[in-house]
Amino acid sequence: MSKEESPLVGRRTTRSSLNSTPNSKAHQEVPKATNLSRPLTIKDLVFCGESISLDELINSFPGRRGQILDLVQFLGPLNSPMIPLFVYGGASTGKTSTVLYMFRHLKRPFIYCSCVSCYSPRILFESILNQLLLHRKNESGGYLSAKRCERPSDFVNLLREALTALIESLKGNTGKSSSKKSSSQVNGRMIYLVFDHLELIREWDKSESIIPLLFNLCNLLKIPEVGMIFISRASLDTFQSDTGYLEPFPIYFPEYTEDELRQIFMSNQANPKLYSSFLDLVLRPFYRITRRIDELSTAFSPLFKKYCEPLGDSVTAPVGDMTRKLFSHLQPFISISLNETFTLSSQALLKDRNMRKSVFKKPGETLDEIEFHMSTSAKYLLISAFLASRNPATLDASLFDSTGGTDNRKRKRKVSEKSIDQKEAKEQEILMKGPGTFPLERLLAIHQCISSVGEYSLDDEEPQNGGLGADGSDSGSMSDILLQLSSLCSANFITKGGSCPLEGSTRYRSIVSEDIVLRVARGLKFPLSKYLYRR
Amino acid sequence: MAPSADPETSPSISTSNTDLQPFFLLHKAASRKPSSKTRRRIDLSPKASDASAQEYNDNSRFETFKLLWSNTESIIKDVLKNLNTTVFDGIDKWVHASFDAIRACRTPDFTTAMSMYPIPNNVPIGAQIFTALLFTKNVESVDDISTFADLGAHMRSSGCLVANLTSIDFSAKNGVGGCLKTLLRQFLLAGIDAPEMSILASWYNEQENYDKPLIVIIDDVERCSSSVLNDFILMLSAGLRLQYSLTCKWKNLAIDREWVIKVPIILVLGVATSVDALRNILCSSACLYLSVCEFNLGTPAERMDAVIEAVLLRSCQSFNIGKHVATFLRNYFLRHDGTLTLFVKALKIVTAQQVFSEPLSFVLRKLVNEEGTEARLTFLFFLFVYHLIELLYTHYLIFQGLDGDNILLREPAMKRALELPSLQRFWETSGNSIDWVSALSELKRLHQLWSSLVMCLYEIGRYRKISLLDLYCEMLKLKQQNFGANDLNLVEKDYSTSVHNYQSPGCLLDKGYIVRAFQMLRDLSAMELCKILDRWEMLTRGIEKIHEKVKELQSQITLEEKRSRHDLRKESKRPTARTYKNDKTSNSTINEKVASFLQSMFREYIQTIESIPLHEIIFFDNVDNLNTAKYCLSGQLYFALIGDPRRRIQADLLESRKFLKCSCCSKNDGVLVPSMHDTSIMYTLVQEHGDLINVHEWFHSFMAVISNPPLQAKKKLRMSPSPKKRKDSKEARTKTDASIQAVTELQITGLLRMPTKRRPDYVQRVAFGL
Repeated sequence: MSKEESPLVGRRTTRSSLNSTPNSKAHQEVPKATNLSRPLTIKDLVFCGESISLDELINSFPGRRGQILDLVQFLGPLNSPMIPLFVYGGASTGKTSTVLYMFRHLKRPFIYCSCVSCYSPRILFESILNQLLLHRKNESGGYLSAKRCERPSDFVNLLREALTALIESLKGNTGKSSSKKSSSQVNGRMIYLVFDHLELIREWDKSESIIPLLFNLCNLLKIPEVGMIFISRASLDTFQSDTGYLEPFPIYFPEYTEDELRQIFMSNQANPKLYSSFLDLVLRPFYRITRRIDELSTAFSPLFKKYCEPLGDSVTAPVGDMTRKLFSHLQPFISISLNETFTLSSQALLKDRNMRKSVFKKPGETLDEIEFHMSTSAKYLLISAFLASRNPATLDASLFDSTGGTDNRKRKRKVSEKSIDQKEAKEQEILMKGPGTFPLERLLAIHQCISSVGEYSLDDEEPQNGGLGADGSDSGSMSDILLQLSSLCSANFITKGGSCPLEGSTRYRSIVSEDIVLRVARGLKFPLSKYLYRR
Repeated sequence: MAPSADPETSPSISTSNTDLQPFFLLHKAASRKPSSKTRRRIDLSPKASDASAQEYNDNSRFETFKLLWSNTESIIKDVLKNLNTTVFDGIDKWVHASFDAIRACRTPDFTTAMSMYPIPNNVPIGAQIFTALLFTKNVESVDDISTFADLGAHMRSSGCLVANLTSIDFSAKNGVGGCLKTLLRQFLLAGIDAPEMSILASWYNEQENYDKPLIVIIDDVERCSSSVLNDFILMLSAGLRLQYSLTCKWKNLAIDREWVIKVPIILVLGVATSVDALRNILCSSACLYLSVCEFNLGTPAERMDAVIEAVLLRSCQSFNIGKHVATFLRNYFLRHDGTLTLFVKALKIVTAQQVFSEPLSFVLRKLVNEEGTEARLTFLFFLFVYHLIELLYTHYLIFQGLDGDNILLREPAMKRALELPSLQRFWETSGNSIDWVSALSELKRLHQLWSSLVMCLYEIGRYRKISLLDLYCEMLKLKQQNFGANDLNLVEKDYSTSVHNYQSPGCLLDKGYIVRAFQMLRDLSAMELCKILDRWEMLTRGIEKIHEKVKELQSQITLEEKRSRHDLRKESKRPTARTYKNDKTSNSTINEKVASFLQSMFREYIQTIESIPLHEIIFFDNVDNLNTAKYCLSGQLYFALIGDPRRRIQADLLESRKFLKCSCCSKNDGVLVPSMHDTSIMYTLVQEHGDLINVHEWFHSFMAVISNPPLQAKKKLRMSPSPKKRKDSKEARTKTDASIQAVTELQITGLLRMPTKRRPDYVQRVAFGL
């Protein structure tokens, strides 16, 4: 814990210095009290904070030297027009950060739009226009945008108007403030539009028209003072390009190598030696799984805490014997963490508990009960859905005939007589296909069979209720099962294929994990393995 | 199903009253508000008094029901609220802790909070959206709708800004815009045309809500469209990015999210099943952004136990359910539904039935109202009523009650009271002449005793997870002779192996749970025993005899403990094995004492419910009705709870004449006549086919039924076939139309499936059997 706090303190002080910049700027222009209602100026289009030199920029992004130099070169000197750029590369490779910090270095005005936040064409258009028109949504304005803009044609017109106005004011601004040397100075007359997460647009409804529009924006506007930078996780090939626009120039961000990752993780560590020895242990195994910084850092932070546990309060770097001791302490947790890299991470405390639970659990022991309440008939229905999804439909008759599946052995022998190759190929195929679909009738039939096997009848209250039992048990449970089915569907245990409900040909698929079904079956004392067709 | 029941018989026992639809009755009563006019009117002429008495009875019953139910409902509400408060408090604590953590990361600054681009800031690695997973532990989510609303209210009261979203907001149809819209509407209290996160950010800063966390509660995550939920989480955290702070010597690894830092949003997700469900819904990149903390609500079984304890055992003045109803509800809860909502609904129906079928149900109102001294007054009042009735036995009478309430007792009702088998038995045994007071007090006393003993047993059961529901049902079933010493002392040799047999769902073994509870009592350690006795001491307060004995036992145990400690000290020099043995034996003797005490209590005080006088008033358990399957209590409950529309449709189609009651076809039983409804004919014909029906054959048989004229007409037709040809073709067309309409109706009701391309001549039956 003490590890974590020392950098925090450092950061906090630095943050105040960072925050002081815009505030002091506000002081110069308007009183601080009116900060909220302060109108936006052109200076707000420039990256806030102090400018940085190119060397600093390159140093702070290990392994990105080439890309940074490329970007700076393509942006060119002050007031020079540029061709649209297409920055792409895997997730978490530093694309957005590099571009943003480049603007911090250059101190040129830019507009940033992420297609994650702007989830529809309208929001995207209005967000761009709002920034260009220096408009801020507020309560007095009813949180409305500066311009209502839904159609692409409107967008182009409004964009042209806004850009020309802004460039005019930029020209005036540069003339005036050229003498002033302040940290928030605006460099040049160029304005850059940055579109982040461009790959998400492909999933929009009107993606066929939006992507060509954005790529073609440069040609449509014909304003040399506008630069475009597209950032995407997908390469240019994945965007349809048959409309004949000028393709933006691609800049590729490759994935980090192990050395680069080490450099990145080593930066800003309070105890570099300790962290280095920690990275020696974890980086290599994790590097084989993922190279994403975000995934790695979420995996590392609890592991590092674990790693430091035996050290206690002493923050010295481990030597010799201690390293070995720490290694053996961490070893079991690495493998667990490796398996959980892509799953839900939880807060450190909880994670520790989970780890302890899973580490000290005996190998054969599994939880006998499911963690949530489910009615008995729902449980049977879940099992029958699972069986219907796993077993081939042709085997239903032999599995569920009146003898209660006693001729299992016969069937097994028959299967084993087939050649092993064929069997393996089939196995592979079924594995690839995943759980199969089944119609409602099959589910009901299997449910009927297994619930009679499971010695579960509707009534065992008293013999005198025989009247109800005989009359209502079958259909009663029938209607009930339809209810149960819908609740299982909504609990995401069974998915339903879309089709006309009147036709009744809806097909279902059980997507529940085998583990849960096994636990349910064990709870019911249901011999699941007897009915499960094993390839 | 007589449309209008005879007023003479309808208020009496519900056995004959087949159309007693609980909700229908409630509705009827509700529309007729008790007016002072009808209440004060005194009319001795038989006819008028009959009507007004009837009305008055209805009103008084309705009031009784209202009182009873509002009482029960408020109890249930309180119980559930109390159950949730600890969890809610935990969440509250966690929310504030996480909010502090967010604030520590970053003090919101206006300029950066408003900027569109991600803030280059120094957030510790792995800082994510704080997310609470609230496990509702039930596949069905009906029970938890109110829980989440309560949680929202609770968080609001502790100074948070809350938005309650449900899975409907996360539908694939509306996309992420839909849920943002709801979110903004709840936070901003204004409709937004183009919802966007930046609006939330500017609102948050504008309103100066800096010191308040924003909480987004999503009811049932499983039902949300996974893509929309993913988008939403990604938007909240848009782009977990690697950034190097340029302030800390250019070497500061930081991760920034667009909105979480700008707007401190904390998520609370309701999860019905398990963490795996969330993993299945969310993609790995969305999972990365969630920093999860888990909270558990009580399981449905726990809640059920709490409700039973509060409603059926603690407030023992109110009405109660008998063994058949209890068993029915228990089985239904375990096997089919598993929601408390349904149980409460069933309780309501049962209350209504009890009030409306039992002429003496107004007594319940008295029982609910009475407290302490008032109780005696009520008994006196009943005594008074009784004597009056004796005097004026043959007359209708209006009685001005002590509390100013008018109570009109009619002869049949009074007769019924006097003929209650339990009361008669009580009189026989007590040898007393008719004595209401003692009977009622006896009823109350025994009921109280009974409930407290069930609770005592449940205290033991808690240690081994025996649910109160099971114990309650079994206690209701218990017969007195079962308390022979042999039965309870019966030590099962294969106890440990047979335990799991009891757990097999749905089967209520005779004496299973009680025997187990006694077994446990013998196995408990001294510490646990002490705790149990403490609880017993609390439970039995007010019942002097038992209370004293419990206290006696308590003192004995403390004495024993002291002695054993003393012994231990004394014998510490001796081999340990011996001491252990000694300790064990002394322990078991205490256990044996307690067990035998409980056993004697059982033998002495527990009677079967049927033997308690006037039990009919309190315990609703229509045993006779259970035999007549269709309209019996469980039948009614069954239909009220599940509906069973498919079966109903099929049955009604086959017996449409019973509903239509037309003169033409009501006479012939089960024979198809042309005057019957077309759809009904078609469906009856379906019964003759297998799962595939040849459309041509079906149509021809339909035509045959339809155009099956009486014999004379047939003859006439044969004699002059030609001149009516044209009319015939027209008729045939209308008949075809009728058949097509009938088939379509059958398809819409889901009984048939239309022909496929492969077999165009056949329709398929979907529903089989009744």
